[in-house]
Amino acid sequence: MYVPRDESPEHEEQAPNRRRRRGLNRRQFLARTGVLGAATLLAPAVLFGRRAEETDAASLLDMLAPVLRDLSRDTFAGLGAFVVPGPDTYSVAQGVSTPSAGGVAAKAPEFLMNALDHFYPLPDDVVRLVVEALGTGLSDLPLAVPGGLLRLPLPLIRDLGDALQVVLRNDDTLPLSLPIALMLNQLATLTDPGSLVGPFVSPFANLSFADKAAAFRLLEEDTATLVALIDDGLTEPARQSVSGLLKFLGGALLEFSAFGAFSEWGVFDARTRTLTGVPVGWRLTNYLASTGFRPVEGWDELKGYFEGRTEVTG
Amino acid sequence: MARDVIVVGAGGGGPVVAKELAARGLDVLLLEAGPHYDDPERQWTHLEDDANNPLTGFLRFGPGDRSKPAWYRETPQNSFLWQLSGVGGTTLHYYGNCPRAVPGVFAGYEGADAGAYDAAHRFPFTYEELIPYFEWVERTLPVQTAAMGTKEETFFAGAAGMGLPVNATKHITQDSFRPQENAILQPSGAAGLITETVGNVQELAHPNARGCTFCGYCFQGCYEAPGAPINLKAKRSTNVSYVPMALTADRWAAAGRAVMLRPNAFATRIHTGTEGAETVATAVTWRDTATGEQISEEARVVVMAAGCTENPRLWFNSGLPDPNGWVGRGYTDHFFDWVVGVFPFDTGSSKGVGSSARCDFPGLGGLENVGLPPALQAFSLTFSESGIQGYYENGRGPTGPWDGAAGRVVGPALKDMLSNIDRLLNVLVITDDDVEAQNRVVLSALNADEHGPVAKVEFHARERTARTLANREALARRAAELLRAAGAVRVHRMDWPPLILHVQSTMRMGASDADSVLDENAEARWVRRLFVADNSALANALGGPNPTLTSQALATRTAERIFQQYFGGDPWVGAESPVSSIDDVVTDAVTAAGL
Repeated sequence: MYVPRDESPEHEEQAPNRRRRRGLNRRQFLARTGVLGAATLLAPAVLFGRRAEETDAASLLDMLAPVLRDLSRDTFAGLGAFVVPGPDTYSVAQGVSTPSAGGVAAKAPEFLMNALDHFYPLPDDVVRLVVEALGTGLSDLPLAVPGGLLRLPLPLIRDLGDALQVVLRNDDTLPLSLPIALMLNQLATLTDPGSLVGPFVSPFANLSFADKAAAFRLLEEDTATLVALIDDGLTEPARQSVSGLLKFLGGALLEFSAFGAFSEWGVFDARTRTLTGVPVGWRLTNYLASTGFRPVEGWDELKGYFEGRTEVTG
Repeated sequence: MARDVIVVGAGGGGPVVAKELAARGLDVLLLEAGPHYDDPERQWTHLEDDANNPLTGFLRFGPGDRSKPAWYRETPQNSFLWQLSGVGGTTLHYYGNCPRAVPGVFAGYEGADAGAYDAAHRFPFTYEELIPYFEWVERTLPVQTAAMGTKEETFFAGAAGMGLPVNATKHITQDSFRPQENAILQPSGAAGLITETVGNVQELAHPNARGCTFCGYCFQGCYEAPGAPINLKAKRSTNVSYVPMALTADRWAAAGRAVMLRPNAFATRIHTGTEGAETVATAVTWRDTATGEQISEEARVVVMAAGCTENPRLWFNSGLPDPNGWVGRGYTDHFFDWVVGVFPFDTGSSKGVGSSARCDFPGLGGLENVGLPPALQAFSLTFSESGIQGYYENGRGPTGPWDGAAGRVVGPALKDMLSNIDRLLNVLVITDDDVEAQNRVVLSALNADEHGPVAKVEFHARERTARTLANREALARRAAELLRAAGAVRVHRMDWPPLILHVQSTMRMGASDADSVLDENAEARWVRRLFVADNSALANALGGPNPTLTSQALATRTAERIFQQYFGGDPWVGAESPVSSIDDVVTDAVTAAGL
């Protein structure tokens, strides 16, 4: 991850220009992942008050946790609306919405986050490597950070970077959905730097429908370009695994958004193992409409045997 | 004291060996990494996420405790590996399709089309030699000719419209279509004749209804008809056929001895010793996934049946020899593709058996219809190697007799296509794919779990052999033609990446010791007393037929070989008649044993 360590005062004196450039890069990294935008939602008094108390990055981490969760949710909502649009704000914002409910109403974002955070045993290291390496690669690409994201002062940016680094490096607490969301946001800013500004803190959620497709194209089709971007940060065998993971994720994020949106997950009560309502996907597909949306043990569907043959031999 | 035999894995193949040898009186221990759902009617639901979510569902690849994460496999490419742990293995979600292998993939085949197959990787014995074993399994499960639903009528209309003849035998000898031969009990009584409504579920319960009730939930695991004894459930997954027979072998077989089943037992090491100049298998260590306890037992013979992905992993993690480098190589997956038709009339796609109709094209592979509930249908329409239709093609996007370029359907197009699930008809393209060294299982450098370094499954879809790629393209075209002939108003090709679900040949048997792991008896070439008895032992992709029946026939043959070679017994296939798993004697045994 391109979040440089704090430079010493001596270092600052010797290389003020370098310090300034790297500070800006850190701001860029945080902007591209959506973390900067999310952090600006914290009340300034909270942030600045914290500075006054001179507490460490850990306390910032506590403050950031819900913000990062919201950022992830925002990002996956942008994904859910892309795969299965509805009338929700994420669908409207992407310029493609439909009157009937979509992935957001079906809780596809929560479905993905739940599966990733609690059940997908992908080594966190791998995704962290992608995010960090992408951060390094993207740091050399120009990005005009919008004015709204410039109001946080440099020391605070540095602490934010440290806090995020702590989050990403802590295997015990890292929810896998976060680095994947950060990666989607990085891809979004690569697709359209304008996605830093929009109704949502997640750049990915701010993309148009066509640009979301373009972001996935980057992930899937331009893997070589992406891997080249992140090459510097990786060595074999991680490099090959990262390349493979990008291709896998390019597909899996779309497939499992669709699976979640059309499954019963959003209305399933795990305790009683019953449904609390009609799954969005069942209404959309007219599935079980004739039974009042209730699975049944059988249908009057027997049409006999082809040519009347019930058995073949030899 | 050593067991006679330890079988590692209670999926499609392991229970066959266990049951056959238990019926001969051997002391057999059957290990299974996943849970044993012994009362599926109460433990399962018909809900897709609850059942099939690969990370959380009861039919996942993971520990029995569903509050814990799934087990990881590295798949460094766009692909999906649909593995499953639990007693029954992938037969829990299979469709019971039991076509026999194509004769052209066996040694000695001299038909006019002999050059059309993977001639370099044939089985080391003849098709005719395997026929008695096919028959034995077909009578044990049993396998029956499938009944039709609306989706099969639609499929047959398309196949007939293409001018294909009907195959009314069990042999695949020419381009043709037919009902599936399925390990699914034919419906009788009320089954298939009534739809359950509130208040009449009893009419569909055993014994009012027997066999398949056309519920449409094959992939979620079958427990129809409600109330039926465990060995009389409609779909003949091994958890309701071979496993109950294995557990009660002392009751229904004259000289039988009940198998000891240990679920939640993840094998982590096969131990070896020496016997003269030879390396021999001597014991197995497994980890109890609930307690973490490591347990070892000795055995005179060890049978690996943990699947095409886990067998190589267990081999490597045990440090067993691999002198020709073929352990884990030669992975075949029928390089599936998926072609979907949208119809102006009802197809009943979400009802009935998952698949009851097929076409066979010897030398190319086959086609079969597939019905799915909505979430899996949505998954199937967003799974592609050709990008997102209308936006990017990922360097592919093949065109043909389908509409537009192949690719994922996303956004409003997905909602539109799924607007009525019962007006779709899915055709699965089952490619006769070549054994290739490049498609394989190795150990992941990234990750190890509590059972050792995990498997990494590599498929090079775009670099498959010219024959494999050409077969797939030819079949995709025929699938589209079939759907058009059946009346589809729109046809969409997905161009799936590897959906690793029909898995074969990673521990393959072969005639040559240069490119096979097993000899013609399915015994490991470099570790005696170690056999393989699941799909990984298959020599090749069978020419396209779904692999379970052939794998079970081969496992039966392997059980005979073990009994003859290491226990001084005589073969029984051909000399005896098999006891059917639905015979009253088995029902009585199962009931008496409280299963």
